Amino acid sequence: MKNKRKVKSIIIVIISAYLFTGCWNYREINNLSVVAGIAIDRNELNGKYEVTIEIVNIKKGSDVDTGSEYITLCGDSLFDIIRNMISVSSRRLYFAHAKIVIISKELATESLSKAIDWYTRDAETRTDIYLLISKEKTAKEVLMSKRKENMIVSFDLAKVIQNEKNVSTAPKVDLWDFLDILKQKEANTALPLIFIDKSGEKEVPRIEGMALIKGDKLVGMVDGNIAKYVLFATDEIKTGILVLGRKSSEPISFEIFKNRTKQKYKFDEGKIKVQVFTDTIVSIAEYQAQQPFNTCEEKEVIEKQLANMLEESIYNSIKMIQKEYKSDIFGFGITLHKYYPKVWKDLSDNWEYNFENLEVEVISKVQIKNSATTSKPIMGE
Amino acid sequence: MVKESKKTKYNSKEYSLTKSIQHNMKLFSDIFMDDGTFKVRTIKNRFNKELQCCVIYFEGMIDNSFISATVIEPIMNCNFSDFDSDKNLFDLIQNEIIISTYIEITNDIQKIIEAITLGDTLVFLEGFSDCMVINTKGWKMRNITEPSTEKTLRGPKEGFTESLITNISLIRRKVRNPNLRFQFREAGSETNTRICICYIEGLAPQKILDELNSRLDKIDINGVLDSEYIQEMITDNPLSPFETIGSSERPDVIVGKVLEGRVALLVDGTPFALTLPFLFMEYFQVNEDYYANFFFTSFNRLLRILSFFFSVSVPSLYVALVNYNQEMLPTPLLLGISSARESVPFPTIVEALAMLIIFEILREAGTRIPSDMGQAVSIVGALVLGQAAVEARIVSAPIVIVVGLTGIVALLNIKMKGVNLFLRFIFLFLASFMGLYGIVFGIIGVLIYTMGLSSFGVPYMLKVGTIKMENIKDTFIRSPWWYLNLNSYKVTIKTTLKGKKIGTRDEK
Repeated sequence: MKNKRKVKSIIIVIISAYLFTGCWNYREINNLSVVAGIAIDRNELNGKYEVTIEIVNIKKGSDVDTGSEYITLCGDSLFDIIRNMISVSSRRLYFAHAKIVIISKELATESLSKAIDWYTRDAETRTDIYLLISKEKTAKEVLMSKRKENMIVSFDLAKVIQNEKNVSTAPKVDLWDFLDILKQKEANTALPLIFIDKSGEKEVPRIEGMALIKGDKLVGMVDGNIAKYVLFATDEIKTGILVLGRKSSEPISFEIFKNRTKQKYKFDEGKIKVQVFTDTIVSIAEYQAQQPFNTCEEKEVIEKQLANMLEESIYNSIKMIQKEYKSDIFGFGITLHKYYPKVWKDLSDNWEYNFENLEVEVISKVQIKNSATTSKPIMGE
Repeated sequence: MVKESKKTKYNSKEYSLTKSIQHNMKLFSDIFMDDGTFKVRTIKNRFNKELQCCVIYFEGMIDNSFISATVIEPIMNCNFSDFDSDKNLFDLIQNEIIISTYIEITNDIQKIIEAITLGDTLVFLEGFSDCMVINTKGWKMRNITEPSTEKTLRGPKEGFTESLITNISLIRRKVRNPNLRFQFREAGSETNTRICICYIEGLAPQKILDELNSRLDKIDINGVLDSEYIQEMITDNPLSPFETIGSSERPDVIVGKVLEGRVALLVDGTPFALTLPFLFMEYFQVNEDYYANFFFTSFNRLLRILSFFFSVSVPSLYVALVNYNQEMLPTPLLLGISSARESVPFPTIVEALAMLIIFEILREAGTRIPSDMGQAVSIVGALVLGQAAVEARIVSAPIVIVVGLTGIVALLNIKMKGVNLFLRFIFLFLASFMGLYGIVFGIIGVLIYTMGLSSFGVPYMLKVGTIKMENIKDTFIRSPWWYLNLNSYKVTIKTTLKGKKIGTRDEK
């Protein structure tokens, strides 16, 4: 009697454990087509969605010398296309390992949220992939421009984005980051831009610059140089380089070691002033000028020059975005909402106008830590 | 009740000793009828023909030269001619003639039979109904060698033998303490194997001793050839793969456990002694842990624990990751496994099961075959089943690595082989239709199950649940000797057992 009950309860536990599991599907790893990247376009001819996916082409054998294949299909909705791709691909598409989503300029101008809805909603896809905006006419051509034969463009680009922090000319945005921002009322952010660099021997995809997003729509693009100063203002600089005397014949390059940016708000007589404080530690990486810099005073002069240059550039970048694109990618609105809700209440109704006319002040502090392995100009004395 | 009648069979009137040695000789010849090794020798005194006696023994069990010199020769050559009173002859021979350390006088047939089968010699005297039992054990024994199952780099190199008395002497030599107790019992209705319960009075809890004795009383088996027979008969959870009674071949291990307040059980005829209660963490404690530097041995102990987890979970984790939770794999690994599995005909779970079973076959073959054929097994195992199978694309390369790793780490805890094997296949089964979820489910199940186990009233998972210095100092790591308190187990066990009735086994 006792045993019967025991056996019964064990069977119930096992059955419920089996039925309530979400991941019951047994699928062999070699029957999956691993999707590496996705490009979403609008077809020129029929105006439908056009999706291109890059699939890792796994060859059998011990050497993992993998290339990639592409599948392009048109359809009314994204899910429609993805499902129909089974009729092209012999295997089931597996999205969990995809690294990048590239969205064309045209689609981004229409609406980004429509383009990424399926991808974020689906159970199998993951939101930790990078979101990119194509600067070229279509996203497809970027995804399909291979540097060499045996490579997977998407994985390569994902690595580029990860290493991007060493130059800091484009933001690094995961899809879930972007989704977080989309939920807010004043959804303004910047996405990295991707384009085909034709300057070299081969046409290669390159990530640089910023796509400015307002709401869920693309409003403009800025190049890598301005992007860097925007990143300074939003405290997203990890490392990177700064060049002083860019136009002169004696440029000095600095490597950024550390940067901290603080945004402060000053209220006087009903006017709000945003103060952006940056505190940067750099080292001299290249020095083409002649005058020595080994004493404290001489170093201070250079620090002062660099600080002025930073102040000016950051200020100009902020002003330019305020006036031209009216997109609050700096998150001024969000911080105001968070720390000064009363002020925000008054401003939020007409934030676009208020943002445009927000007074900004940039105060930069630079500290030169060292000059790499040589402590003075290599020529002279 | 069959057992009882056998024991009391010889106590009936029919089998009783008389004053006639002829009758007594006849009696024993009848009892050991058709036994070729049963020997009777009648002796007369040279000076007094009246004096007749007989010596009864088993060939091969006694020391021949010892009997000749200490029993036969003195009785034959001693001058009994002027001896007149019958009354003192028996005492005289016992006290002044026979040269032996131990003589017992008895007329209990049952006792006499037990003694002679153990290698003692019986001496009967005409005119007396008592029997002299003389200790003349002298059979050949294996030498004391280092046990091959428990090798150490440092520490005592002696191991138990098949002789119970030798084993007891090995223990006694290490503990010169009057409180060391050896209690003898017998088990096996046909073999009458001697069992010795060894403990230190005052350290071993009385409750555990009582429980042990009551369980041993209930044993009904006709033969005991190894301590495993006893272990399975008295263990708390007979159907569990987890052992709740420990075993060792080394006297130092047994003494170590006895000093911690445990009870040891030695069985005649096997070098493997049992210790109880046995806790889960004792699987990972090796005697060398206490003989070498504590940093090194703590690391080794952690390795053993890690290897237990590996050996149980690696095949199932592989199956779960490759078939259910592919997103958990790093992308390059996913591509690597995917290309290795390309054009392999079997599903991963079939591959894993087949390779694991092949490994177990190789292991079993390796232990059973004569040592000079061992080469063949390793060649077949390594080359044919490993490399060639992968190259022929019958199995994929990763599964060979997985199975190889599983097999090797399982060898670290050789005493856990049963648990390892059992859990490994259960986990593999769960992983094959529920993925990682199934493994988590399995781990929860195993934890609930083991937490509910007990060994002689002591919780099996004692000291595993909480991370306190008191608990980990001799479990996950081995602390330095000045920090280790041998009695710590005893203290815990006393407090756990206080006022608690030890769960007796259901009588089935």
